[in-house]
Amino acid sequence: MPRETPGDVLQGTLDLLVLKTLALEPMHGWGIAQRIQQLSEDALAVGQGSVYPALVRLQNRGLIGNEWGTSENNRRARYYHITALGKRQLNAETEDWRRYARAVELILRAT
Amino acid sequence: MRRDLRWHPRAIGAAIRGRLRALFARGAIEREIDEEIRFHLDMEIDKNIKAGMTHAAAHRAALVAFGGVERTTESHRDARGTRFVDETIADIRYAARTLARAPTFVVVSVFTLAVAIAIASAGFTATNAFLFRPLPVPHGDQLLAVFTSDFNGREQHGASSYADIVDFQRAADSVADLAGETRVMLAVRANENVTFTQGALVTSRYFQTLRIRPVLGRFPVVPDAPTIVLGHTLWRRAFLADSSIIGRRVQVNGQPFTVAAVAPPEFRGINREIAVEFWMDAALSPIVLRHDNMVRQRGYRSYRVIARLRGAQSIDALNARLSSVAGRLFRSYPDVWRDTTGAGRTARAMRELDAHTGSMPRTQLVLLVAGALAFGFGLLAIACTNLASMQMARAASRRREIATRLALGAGRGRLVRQLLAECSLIAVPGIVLGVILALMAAALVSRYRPIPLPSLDMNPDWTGLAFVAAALLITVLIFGLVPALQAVRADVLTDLKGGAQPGADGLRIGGVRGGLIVAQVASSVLFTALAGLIAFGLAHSASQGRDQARKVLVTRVNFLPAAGDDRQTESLANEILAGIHSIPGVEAASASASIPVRGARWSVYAETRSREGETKKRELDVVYVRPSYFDVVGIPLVRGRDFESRDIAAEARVAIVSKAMAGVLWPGEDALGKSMRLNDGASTAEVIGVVADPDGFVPATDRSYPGLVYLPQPIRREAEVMFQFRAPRGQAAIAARVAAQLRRYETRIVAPPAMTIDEYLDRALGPQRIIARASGVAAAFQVVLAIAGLSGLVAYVTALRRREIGIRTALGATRVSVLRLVLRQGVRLTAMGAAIGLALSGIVAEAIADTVSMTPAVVASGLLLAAAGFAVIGMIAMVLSARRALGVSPAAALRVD
Repeated sequence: MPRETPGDVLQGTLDLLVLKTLALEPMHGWGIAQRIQQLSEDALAVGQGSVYPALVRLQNRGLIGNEWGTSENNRRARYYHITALGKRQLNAETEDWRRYARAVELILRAT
Repeated sequence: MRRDLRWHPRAIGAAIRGRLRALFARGAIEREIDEEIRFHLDMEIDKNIKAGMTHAAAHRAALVAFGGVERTTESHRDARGTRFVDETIADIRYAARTLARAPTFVVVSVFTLAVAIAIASAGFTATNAFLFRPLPVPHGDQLLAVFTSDFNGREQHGASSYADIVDFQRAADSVADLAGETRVMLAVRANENVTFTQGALVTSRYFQTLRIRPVLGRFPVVPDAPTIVLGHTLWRRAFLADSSIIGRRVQVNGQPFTVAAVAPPEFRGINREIAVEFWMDAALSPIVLRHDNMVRQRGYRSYRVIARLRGAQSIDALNARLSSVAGRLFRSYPDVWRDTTGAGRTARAMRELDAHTGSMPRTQLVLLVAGALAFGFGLLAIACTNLASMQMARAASRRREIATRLALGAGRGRLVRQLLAECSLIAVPGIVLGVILALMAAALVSRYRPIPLPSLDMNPDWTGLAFVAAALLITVLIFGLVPALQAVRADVLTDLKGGAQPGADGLRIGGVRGGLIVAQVASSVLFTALAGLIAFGLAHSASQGRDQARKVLVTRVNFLPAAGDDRQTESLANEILAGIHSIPGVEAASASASIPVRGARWSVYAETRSREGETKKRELDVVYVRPSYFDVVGIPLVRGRDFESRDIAAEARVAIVSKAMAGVLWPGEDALGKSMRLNDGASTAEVIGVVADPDGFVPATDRSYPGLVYLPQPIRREAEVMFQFRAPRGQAAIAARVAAQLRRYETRIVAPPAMTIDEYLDRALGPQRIIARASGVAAAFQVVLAIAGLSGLVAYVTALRRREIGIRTALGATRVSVLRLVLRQGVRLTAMGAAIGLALSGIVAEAIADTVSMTPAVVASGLLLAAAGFAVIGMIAMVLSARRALGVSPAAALRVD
């Protein structure tokens, strides 16, 4: 059984995307996967399933919470929501990401 | 994510919650994941069907998009952060399954370990109580001890006299409470039961100083009436824990006393070495003891003194008072407080606990504790050895499994953890059981005091117990791990190919492995020999002179002060003996100071002159006897005459020697009429008779000579004498009649019911029997485990040499040569272990020979039998497990898988 988890960058990006998705509205795992897939094909290159470990990680860090609810087709489903701590983390991350992207952009433009 | 909120309190809380849930709600979590993933897939399938796919295609596409359900669940588990715990649980499950296949081994190992721990920690508690804990009285740590030194100050921890204590009390009254205790042996009678036991004479304020509370009644304050305080053990034993005992009359040395109180069970006097069973005010002692030096003589220093400071007083203030009173006593009583040079005694107080450790006595208790510790740690060493050898044998047979797993990429650390789990499965239950046993034993001891332990605080010491358990756990794991690590060091390639190929230097059994087997065989032989020797010795001494011993009844008579002076006591003894003799069925009645077969033996220095005129001084075994002793014990008189009453009355200087002794003292001469100087000329004795040698007599030590010297036994007051009488038949009825007769003298003597010498010796040999039984059990353990170890070794060798055996068989090797190949190592190690075990047993046998009658022939045959017996059993075990080697088919062995 491979113990390697996806690289830190990818994993970090995925976590950020999940947080971003949940910042819009509470959502179940499938919904989150759909949303991320629509927005970015690459992040889920390893499969929709990789959303779930990310959800556990985020939850263990207190960034998201969950509760069981009823889905749009009347089935029991686990809905995830972002916590206050999660929002703070998302803002900080977004800020960082933007600064990083701007830096890369500047460097690329310069050469 | 670089900006980190990881250490935010809420994040930490979530992390802990998540992991706890993962650990304790594993099942629920797995179900939830399943449901979540199923929901996800269903949603995806629905979506695909809506997009126009067939059901099957939709299903497949959903799975592909998901990216592997198993992998997701697995990484989900990883994300939960409980992999370590999961693996550990798996290890333990695996280990449990493996061990379940060897239940006997597990039971024996766990039990050995538990007993080892229980004994070791009991020894630890006792040592601790003896050396480092205050006496079991309220605020025992505040107790002081007061000592009177000798003149030159060399002995600081000297005892004090009653008169001095009274002066100390008066002088120190405003500063401290002070009291003393000295020991006496007295007979306490309740109804028909007479108990001759150790008690204490105490000064007034003894119980007040100690501040203990009685279980029943009230401690006497003023000795205005003859009262006695019973110890808890005496109350239970002699009075059957009768709660209406207070105010009841009992006879103490034949004098009426009233029971005032019953002391608490843990309190057995202020002496940690010897327990006392009752207390009475020393002022009452003239009633029961004729000589009053215990109270009146200032020079009779036998009291231990304790003190307790009042309120905020300091020990210095007490010492100031004590030295001023010592100065006054020095002036007033020059004969006992001052020596010829004018140097005087001093009196000083110090903490009781410090004083106690400062003057460590070499008592039996210390030996007992040391013995218990040694036995406990010995057992522990055995337990550890067994664990190690188990791991060794198992590791050997699992070399390929381990090699395979290593080759498949299992971490060595992971494998070690698994082997460790196996050790823990034995170590942890063993230790838990051991701690429980220790606690139960401690509870029993401190509540019921089943053994006459002195005042010791035997409550379990939790820190100590925890320390012992932890230290043991680590030791056991280390022992288990050494062979485990050896196994993991395995050479993957060689092992996968089918085992180590014995090279030019032959097959080497690793030092640790070989050492373990040798140690195990050695300890098996040692314990078997020990058990066998004692059993042999007991049987030997039982068979010797047993017929005679069954015909002789014995009772140990103590003469009390009321028996009168020496002359009166002597005639009382004669009167009692004549009375016993007159009972029909009693053929002869006599008395001796001891029973010379075993136990207490006196010796005397005798100087004799040989024919050549040279004098020689020897230490000889001696028995003091009264007339017709030889008739009673059935030893025929060979020459001369027996002692007569007038010899004793006239204190005649006569002796009787046994034949062997006559041969030693006057070789080739007639002993009759010869004389010897006894104890450096203190007296002389003329030989008036020669008797046959007693059956089964063994000299007390190697240095003594065979045979005995008999001297006449005058009965002095307060003596203890063995009354013996010959009654070949109807002994029970005769013993009852004797008891009835003796009761007539109850104010003057104390005598327990008579029993045959046979029974008497049986009781005297009780401790040896216990040792024999204990080492028998240990031997059984050891033999079982050693055999397991040896079979394991043979199995190991067989496993390693499987290919070689296959080739040899294919080339036509005989069964015998294959057996020789497989058994060589085991036989060599067994021989080494047996030799070491024999050497150790030889040393132990010498120690035993002091307590159990044993001739060198018995010792030698016992030892050889133990070794030979083990060798035979070991060989059978090895051959049995070697049969597998014989069954190796060349085709199977040579197949490379």
